[in-house]
Amino acid sequence: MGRAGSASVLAFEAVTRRFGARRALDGVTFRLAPGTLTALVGPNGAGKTTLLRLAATLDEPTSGRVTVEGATGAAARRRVGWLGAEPALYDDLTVRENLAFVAGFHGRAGGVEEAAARFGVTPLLDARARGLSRGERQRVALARATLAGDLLLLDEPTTALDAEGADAALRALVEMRGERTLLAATHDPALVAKADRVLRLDGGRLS
Amino acid sequence: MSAAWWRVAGKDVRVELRSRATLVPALLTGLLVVVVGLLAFHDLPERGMVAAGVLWIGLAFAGALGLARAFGAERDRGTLDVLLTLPVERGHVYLGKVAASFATILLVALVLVPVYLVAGGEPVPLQWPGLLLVLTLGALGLAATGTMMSALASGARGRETLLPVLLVPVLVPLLLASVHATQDALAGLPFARWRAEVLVLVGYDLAFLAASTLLFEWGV
Repeated sequence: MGRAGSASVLAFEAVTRRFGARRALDGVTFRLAPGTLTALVGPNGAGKTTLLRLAATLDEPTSGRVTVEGATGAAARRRVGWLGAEPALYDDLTVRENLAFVAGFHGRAGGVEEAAARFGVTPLLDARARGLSRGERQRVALARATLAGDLLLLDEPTTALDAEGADAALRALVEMRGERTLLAATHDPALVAKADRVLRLDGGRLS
Repeated sequence: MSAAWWRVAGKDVRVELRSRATLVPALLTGLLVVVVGLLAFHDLPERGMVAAGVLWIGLAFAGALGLARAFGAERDRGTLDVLLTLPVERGHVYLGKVAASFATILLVALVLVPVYLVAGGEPVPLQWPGLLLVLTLGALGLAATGTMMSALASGARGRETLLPVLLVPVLVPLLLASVHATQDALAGLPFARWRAEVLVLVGYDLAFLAASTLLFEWGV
């Protein structure tokens, strides 16, 4: 599982993903240019989460090919930062430990404080994740995603955040554009407005 | 990233030390089995012969409790995706989980054996280093097998029921070799008499660790 050229950060080539008879994605082809913020929009069930999971190597296409900087498998995962639909923290670890766990694998252990500051969770660093509100958990999970690879795959990044928190998170994400490549599945019009590009999925197809 | 499995294991051990979600129920289950076994077979002249069986039944039950959580808890809280997006071959995640489960099972074993010896009024076996070796190899086999089966069962409905169904048939050779070797070690027989069982345990552990590390990517 290695690299085979890296013309773009993320490439989907005629990707189809079936679950039984249902086609969650149907012949999807696109490429992401480095340093861009792309909004992935579409109604519920359009295939947004399936597309993100394929990009993150959490799932495999039924047919077609997904590469991250030309790589697949573990080599692709080195370049990916992941935020799922749920914040998914270890409740018995502190926020710092949750962040450091992922950061350590990506050689970014020294960036924990900066990532926490970026998403406003510095005062929570030594608190156990168990006691955090849903919005706080979301901000910690966002910080954790930025401590991984340079391609950020974000499933509803501003969900569960209040208006102020969503604004702050969006500002932080927009500031990262340029040094990072972001692909965010979202229903948030503010995020869509800031995006360099909008990918619209409907019934598993890009329109 | 050679330390990847160590990091995963360290995270699991830290979570366990704080939550005690696995260790306490596993210890209590193991103790219950051993104490009931001691009471049931107290007047039996061949009590020493059944002791090894009682010990390993206790360890297998205790281990199964913890192993069910190895991947089930990760899936329930959504952190399985966090593990699976780590930038390492997924076999490292499996090995980290095995290491953490092994530590728990071995700890339970190291409590159960002295409890059995003290409560049963038994002398410390002359072959205690050999007994320790058998416990270590048996615990490693339990952890290696149970962790893989936990991964296979974690996505299924009724995984608590499915895990024993998957696990028990595969554990038969491991448990037979462990029980026989433990019997002989407790009886103070020379190592040459139970070397074959130890070799079975070594072979079982190596085969399961190697196969599961390679196949884990498709199992989880």
